[in-house]
Amino acid sequence: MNDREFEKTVITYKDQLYNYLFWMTGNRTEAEDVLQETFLRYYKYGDPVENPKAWLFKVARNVYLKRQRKRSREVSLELVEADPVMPGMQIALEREELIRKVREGLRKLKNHHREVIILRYMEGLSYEEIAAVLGESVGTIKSRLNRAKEKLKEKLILYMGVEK
Amino acid sequence: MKEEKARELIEKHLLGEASPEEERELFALLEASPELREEKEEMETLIGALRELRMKAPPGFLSRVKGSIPRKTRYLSFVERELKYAVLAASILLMIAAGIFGLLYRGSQTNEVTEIKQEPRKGYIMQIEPRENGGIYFFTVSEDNSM
Repeated sequence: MNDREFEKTVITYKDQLYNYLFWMTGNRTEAEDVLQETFLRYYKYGDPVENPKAWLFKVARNVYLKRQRKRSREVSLELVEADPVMPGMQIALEREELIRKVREGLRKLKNHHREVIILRYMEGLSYEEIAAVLGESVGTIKSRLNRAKEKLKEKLILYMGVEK
Repeated sequence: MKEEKARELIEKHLLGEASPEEERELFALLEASPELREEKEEMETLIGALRELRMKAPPGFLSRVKGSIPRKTRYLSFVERELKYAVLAASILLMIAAGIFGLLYRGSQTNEVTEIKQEPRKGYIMQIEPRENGGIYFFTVSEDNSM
């Protein structure tokens, strides 16, 4: 891997990884720090990897979990709520309420449920890729995602009822 | 089971992973089931909303990550990347060359003993048995029964 290949990889995956890390850490600065460390590890690793996407997500997850353990605290997503306007979001006015509900619902999910929702529905990772990132079987991921989806729907049920 | 399959197809369709055959299968199922159509709409709304919540890496991130790579790491990475295979090949060649040289050197040895640095102790004799095809000698030390 040369510098140009490294740059290409950063450009390709930085937004996906940042989004995942932001929703898992609940903090922009922390997300950026973890993202930077992830790419540094990728650079130092040097050798080409079979699936860079899964590799990077796995390393990013390990880095953020390690930092989280060091601080020995639960991830607090208060900062997400405290952000009235988040850059990168283009929310149409008529969808604002739905988006707000989904954001609240996502925030209130347990970490392992929120994680699979982000990886599958926001970032479009396949079941096999998610299984590789989390070190679980595909069957476990499928059932966890179903459970997470149901939990999220439960939190949105009022809105969904109005939508129908 | 059928519902599970239908849900899987809906998800694949919404994430753009469904094959043309799966698309046809899904639309046949949707046509036959108002509940499935409702579920598809719900999922479409949910995934659409989730995707609108996606965050982007801050501007200038690429420059920052490049700037954070220590120079030493950059140099070492270059050496590791570009030269490690050359060093490996050179090492293998060196080992092969040393092996060949060793064989040739061994074959060129004569069976003559040029020097014995240490005499056996009194009461013992030393027998020398040269090998026919090599330069290695066997020294057998035994008690001298003639004394």
